[in-house]
Amino acid sequence: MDFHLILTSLIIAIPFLGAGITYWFGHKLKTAWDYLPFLFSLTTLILTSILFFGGSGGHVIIKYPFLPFSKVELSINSLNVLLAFLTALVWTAAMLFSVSYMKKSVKRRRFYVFMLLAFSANLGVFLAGNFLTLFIFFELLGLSAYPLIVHNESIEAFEAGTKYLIMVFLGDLALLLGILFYYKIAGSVAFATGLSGGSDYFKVITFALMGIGFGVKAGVVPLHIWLPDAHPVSPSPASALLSGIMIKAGAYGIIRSLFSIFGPEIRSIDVGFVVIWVGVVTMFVAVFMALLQENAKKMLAYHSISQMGYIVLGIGCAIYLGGKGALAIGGSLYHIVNHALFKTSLFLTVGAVFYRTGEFNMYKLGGLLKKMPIIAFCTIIASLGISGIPLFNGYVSKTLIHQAVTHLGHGGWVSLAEILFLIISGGTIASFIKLFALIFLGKLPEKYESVKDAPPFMIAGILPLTALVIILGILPNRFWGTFMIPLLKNLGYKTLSLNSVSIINILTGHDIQSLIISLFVGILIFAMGTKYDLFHMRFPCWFGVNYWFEQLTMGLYFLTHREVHLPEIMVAGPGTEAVKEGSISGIYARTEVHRLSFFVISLKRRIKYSYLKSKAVLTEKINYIIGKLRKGFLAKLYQDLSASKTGIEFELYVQDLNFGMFLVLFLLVICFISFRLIG
Amino acid sequence: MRKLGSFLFLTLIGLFLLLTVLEMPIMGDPANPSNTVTTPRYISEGARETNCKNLVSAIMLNYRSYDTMGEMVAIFTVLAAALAILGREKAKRGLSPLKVEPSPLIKITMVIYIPFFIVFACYVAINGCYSVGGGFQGGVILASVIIIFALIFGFDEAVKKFPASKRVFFEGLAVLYFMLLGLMSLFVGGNFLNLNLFGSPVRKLFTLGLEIGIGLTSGITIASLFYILKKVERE
Amino acid sequence: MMITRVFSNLIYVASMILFLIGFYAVALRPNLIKKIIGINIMETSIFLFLIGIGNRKGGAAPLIVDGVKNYVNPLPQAVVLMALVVGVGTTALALILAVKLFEREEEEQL
Repeated sequence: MDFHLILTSLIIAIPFLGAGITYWFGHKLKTAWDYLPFLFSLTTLILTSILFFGGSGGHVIIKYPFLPFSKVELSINSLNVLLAFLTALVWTAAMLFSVSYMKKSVKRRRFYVFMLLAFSANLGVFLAGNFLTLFIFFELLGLSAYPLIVHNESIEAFEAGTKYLIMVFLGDLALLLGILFYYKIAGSVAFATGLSGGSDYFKVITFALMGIGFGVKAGVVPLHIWLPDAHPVSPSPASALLSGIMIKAGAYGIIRSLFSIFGPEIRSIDVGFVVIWVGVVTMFVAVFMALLQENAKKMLAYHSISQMGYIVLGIGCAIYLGGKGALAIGGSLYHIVNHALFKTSLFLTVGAVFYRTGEFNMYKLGGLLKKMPIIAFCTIIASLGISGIPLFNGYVSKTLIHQAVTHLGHGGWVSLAEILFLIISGGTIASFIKLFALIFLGKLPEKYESVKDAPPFMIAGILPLTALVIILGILPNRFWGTFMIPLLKNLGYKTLSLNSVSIINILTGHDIQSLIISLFVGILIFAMGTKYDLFHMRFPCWFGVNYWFEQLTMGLYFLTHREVHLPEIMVAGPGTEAVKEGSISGIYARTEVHRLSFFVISLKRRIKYSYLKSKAVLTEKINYIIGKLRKGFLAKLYQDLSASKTGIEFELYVQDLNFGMFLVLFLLVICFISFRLIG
Repeated sequence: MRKLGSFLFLTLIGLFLLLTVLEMPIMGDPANPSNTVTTPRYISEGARETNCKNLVSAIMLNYRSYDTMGEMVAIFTVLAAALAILGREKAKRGLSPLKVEPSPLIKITMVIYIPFFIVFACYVAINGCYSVGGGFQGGVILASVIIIFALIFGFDEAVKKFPASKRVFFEGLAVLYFMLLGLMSLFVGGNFLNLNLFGSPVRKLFTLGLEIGIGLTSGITIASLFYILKKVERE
Repeated sequence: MMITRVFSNLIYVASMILFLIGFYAVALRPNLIKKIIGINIMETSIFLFLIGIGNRKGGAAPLIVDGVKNYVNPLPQAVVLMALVVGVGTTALALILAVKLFEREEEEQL
């Protein structure tokens, strides 16, 4: 039994066992048990920091030959340990925050149990030594995040949870297939630095499958659709961790799979090109959507997607540049660390504001600067970090990624990408000016006169993170030299290509020039947006990926929510109050109308392609719904629909079967094609 | 007293069985009669004679196809007897509520994975000759899909998805197919069910058909038996 | 000598014990459902016995692969596979008969 085996096993086992202890014995401790989960995560943090600061820096593989699952391997190397330490740090901060935040909440035992489970799974993802272990922990993470998302048990939460599950399961299937393909090429599931066997075509398919699997978790456009729904509905500490750490599991998976399949030293121009553009599109779409949000948490969720775009862009640049891409991947990993710090603290500060005011809508808040000075201070530090202002950590990693983009070449699509990069940075700045200005500046609404600053546990959770935001921004070279260089070596970069990046220079003339441009663009966007009221612009629903996804998977929605879904929306939906007053206004009522029209559209589509006998009856029903919709008598309509739901749903089921059969045929075809390819 | 008697009775039987066990040859010995009499022939010639790499399938579909046919007839008879005793389930109008509503997690998982399960069942059944698996195994996976569906989404739902009118054809399929093949080999001029008379490609096709037929029939029959038993609980 | 033989034939002993358990349920338990379960356990013990007979030391699964010479006996496996499905059928039939019997008894009591 050596030291590393026991330490690493304990790191994963303590939160796991802690979940069990919290579940079975937690409530017997009366008042003290709220602190129990925090203590478990603190213990894990201490153990992880022993591993992190006292590590040999070498590459240790931990096997369990005496257990029945001998294929399970953990590994300790600089990349894994850095991410594990980051996870433990952020998780402990969020746990400390939730000691105060969850005190009012009901069913918080469930919340803590699944927080600890997800903690264990997330550490397992980062410490995994091969793809099989990674997959096992990835599945566990995906499942244990679901109870966190649906914790509020509102309709929005369940809907977001359903969407999350559908996406995650489909992604996991793709990931499993990708890992099987990887096994077929490599002969083992261990991480590698470039595969020698297998055709290029086959490798690309393998990476595409694994990329889809990890990309769902990472929130890469167009697989991001679950994220802006799921992150806002969960309790604030959970959404901070979902955004800060859990989506990093996806990014880590992308990095691992990419470097295992193609290797760091070889240029793969086509793959790099695609990944770069996926990253740019992700950044652009998400920033654009974030500017239009009213809900602060939803805005932050969109920003998470956008920052994941930066990371994916860096990964793409690295694979495009080959041996010279150490800077790019270093920037990406740096950004992973930075994003975890500032996004978690932003979510926590917004959560603290919600704890005191009960409001997430930015337009209904204002003037809280004097009431909550410490929270305002933390918010402004984290905002400066995410906006990429010098002396804060976001600036370092964004500049590194930007430098990598300029290394790609000159003119053509590279210039376009660079211009988009600057605009996106401007958009980020604009939306954080907006966040800060709307919440903390301006006129204080009267009902918030008695608001106090956040409780001490919350502040104690947020402050270390914001301190790290500043430290990592002031001492970038120290961090780079100590942690990033061994990490890049571990990823497979040779010493020769590392010499050129042993010190980073982030204050060249070009960098400052582009910083000024993005600042200017940001202020311009903010000014234009407030002046012409562009932030309230809305697009038709068919404009987004979300709409088409829901159209495709409508059958799944109805099948899975046959008891909960329809009647609750219809009878006791959150919009009913607004509806009773006769005015269809407010965000909830709008979603209601949207959802109903969406329901009607899907019904119509179904009728068009159905061969059912009762077509006439259904058509009549739908015309009735449309008529009611036009007149706006929603409340009456809810009752009618809920009374007659069985008739409609029966028809829906029949259609779903056909959908399933179609899927079976489709999968059979894919199976045969893929087996042709392999064999 | 009764307990003591039964205990003595069981001990007696156990002693007899133990004596038998003591007389058995050592397990796994290559010189055992079970490994020397017919097995070498199956192993050395089986793959060539039947075009099946999987020897279990080879034996079931070729050397001992009479047995398989008899077995299909047996489960067909079981189903017929069950129908004679209890009768088919009836579809109800509307959906009766479930006793326990399963969590969304289970529902969504099953909704997404059921097509994959069915594909897996097809794969196992179709590749019975070339890899581990076979008609029965595929059929049992198919049956388990239907049964899981019924357990999660309710019996009414399952009755609507897989109504008796759709199942009834498959329940007799394999028996019919066996008879047809047997008669064909009679017409070609051989014995009943002697598939060696046909050329290799035709034979492969027939074998594939047998695998699919056996899979569908056994799977659907098991599902039907489940439906019949489940019907009792509903009434 | 005898002891070594028993230890090398542990699977037969296990099958014997299973058979006894099944037999106990069938013969000495009044409950009909338990009798049916007992029949199932007895079936399982016989399957175990048959598979054990077909075993061969170091043998691979009977799926022909180039270069492998030593296979276990495929015949018991095929037979057991058939017996499994027939077993499902007999169990189902037995259960259905039990249900019918139960209904009849209820009617008579009324």
